[in-house]
Amino acid sequence: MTPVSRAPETGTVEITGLAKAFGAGTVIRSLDLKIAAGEFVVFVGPSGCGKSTLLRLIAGLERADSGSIRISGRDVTREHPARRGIAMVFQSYALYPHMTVAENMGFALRMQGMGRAEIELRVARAAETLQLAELLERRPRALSGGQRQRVAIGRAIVREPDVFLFDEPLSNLDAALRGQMRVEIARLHARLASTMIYVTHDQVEAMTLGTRIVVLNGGAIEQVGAPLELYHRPRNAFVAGFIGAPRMNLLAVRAQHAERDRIEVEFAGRHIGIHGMTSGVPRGASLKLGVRPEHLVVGAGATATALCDAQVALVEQLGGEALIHATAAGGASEALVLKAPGDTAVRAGATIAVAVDPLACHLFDGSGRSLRAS
Amino acid sequence: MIYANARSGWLYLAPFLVGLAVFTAFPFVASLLLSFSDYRLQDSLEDARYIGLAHYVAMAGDRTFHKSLGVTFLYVFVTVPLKLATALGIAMLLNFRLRGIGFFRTAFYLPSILGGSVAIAVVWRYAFAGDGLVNQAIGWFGAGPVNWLGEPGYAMASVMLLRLWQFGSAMVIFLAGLKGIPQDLCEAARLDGAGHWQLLRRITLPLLTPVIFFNFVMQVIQAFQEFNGPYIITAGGPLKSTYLLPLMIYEEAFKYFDVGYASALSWLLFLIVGIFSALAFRSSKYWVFYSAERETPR
Repeated sequence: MTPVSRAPETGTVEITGLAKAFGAGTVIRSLDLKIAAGEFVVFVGPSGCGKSTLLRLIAGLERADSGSIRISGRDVTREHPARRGIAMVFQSYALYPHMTVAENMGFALRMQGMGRAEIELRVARAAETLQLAELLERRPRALSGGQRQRVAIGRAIVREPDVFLFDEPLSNLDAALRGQMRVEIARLHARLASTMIYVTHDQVEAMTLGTRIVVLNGGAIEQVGAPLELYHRPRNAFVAGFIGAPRMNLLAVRAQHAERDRIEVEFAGRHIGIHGMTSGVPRGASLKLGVRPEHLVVGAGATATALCDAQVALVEQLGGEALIHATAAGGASEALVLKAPGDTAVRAGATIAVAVDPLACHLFDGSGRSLRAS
Repeated sequence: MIYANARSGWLYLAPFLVGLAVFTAFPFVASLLLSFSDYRLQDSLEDARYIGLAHYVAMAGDRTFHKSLGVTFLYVFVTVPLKLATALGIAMLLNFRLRGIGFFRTAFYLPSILGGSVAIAVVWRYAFAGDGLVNQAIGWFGAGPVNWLGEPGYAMASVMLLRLWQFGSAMVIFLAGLKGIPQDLCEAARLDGAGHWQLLRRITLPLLTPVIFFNFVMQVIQAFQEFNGPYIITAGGPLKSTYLLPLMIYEEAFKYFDVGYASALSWLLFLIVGIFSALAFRSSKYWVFYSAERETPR
């Protein structure tokens, strides 16, 4: 299947001032977002952050209280879901259990009144793309989880929509199949070059699939950016904590000295100077020092500065790497997670010296806002 | 210890087993044996003679039986589809999420609790009497009184209406079936462009077929066994127009004391219900869809 030439606006999504409440609970708060044609945008956030509601608003399965949604340049805010130029893949797959795979995939086309020959052609083409050709006469109950997922995607493909919507499509699969399907979806996006909006709570899926990630919290956007932008330059402590696995260590520190773009902070009795920060932080201010587990080292590295001594509570061996769970000594008593090579000699109960590369450190003020100078 | 446990187990089971033996198994076997005898209620059982299939042969020439069988089939063929359609329609209405829907669900279910009772059948008789409530009501619209219980056609309609009025239990089962249809499927169908009618025809009804099948079989069995309504409202009349088979069985046994013939009629009714149930089960593979995982995923 090759990408076809389309009008320049085809596949764009523009959300302006969108709001939605269920009873007294506001789920989406005046949200603005622009998605370019061909992008793979991932909505990510904790449970209840509004990511699925936002997707359902785009699909037309929920009615917006205010604001507008434009798809391919057309205002679809009050449009019927079937006439929005979208196709959706549900978390539960939502395959019609009484229909065969071919009937499931062709159902939308039948509803459009398309001819039998054209339906069969489109279904066969999508089935070939998704390696479903052998399964077309089976019912969903005779398919494995991965096959059902592919049928659900096939059902979306045959409609040739402007925008694909995925609502946590891999969450019902086991870990191995999830990884495999993730690769298949990425390949599909590369092949179709269609706009895809993907909801997940799994930040690994978000990082690996998205060309842009939208981090949502409490019905509002915390940050929008490319995966590595969010990883390296989180706008606030929430994004910093949410993107990256294991999550970033956020340690309570106190500002000792601020000079131009350098802030010196104190942690567990030791001082660390961090560059690239905004000025105007008062001495004694309570801050959060953000360090990813992969940026903490055991002992002293070539570019690392000593951070603290720590008591090892647990070593999680993952094969290629190990996760060391420790508690900082020196009065801080903060929990730390370090990523170490798989052959690390560190064992539970040991006391280790922990060092950090100051260039990989983040600082957040009392409200969680990043102090990194933009 | 094991022996003691087994004994107390049997003790717990005993009331049920005694009830099953005395009130179900014994009458079941006895009625079969009696259907081959000339036993009459006023005679001693020792006087009963074995007469083979004589009662069954007699049915072939019994005009009352032919009439009764005809009205029974009419009653079943009209009330079962109408009752199922009514129950399904109301269940769909009650499936909407509306304020106070619990009250409406209770209100619609209530007639089923009351409907089968003798008291309601008596009320029905008065409501459809010449100067009853129904004639008064249609009088307000200028229509003349109808001889509901005196005209054969109207009498049957009145008795059928009582059965339709008891749609609640089938409705509750339909409602549970409708609640069991995943919301995702309806949303997927909406996204696929299915309107209300297409959604009903292509998604809801196919997924509801196991429940429709269950309700159909239950309603057929119950309709063939209907007794209270025609007995109290019309006593089988006029001109035997509501003389359903259970009513004939009752009268043969307890009015004409011909227990042998009544037993034979009972077994014929049992056979008819059995054939209908078997046909329903045989046909189910063509129209009933079970979504449960029965095939092994490959």
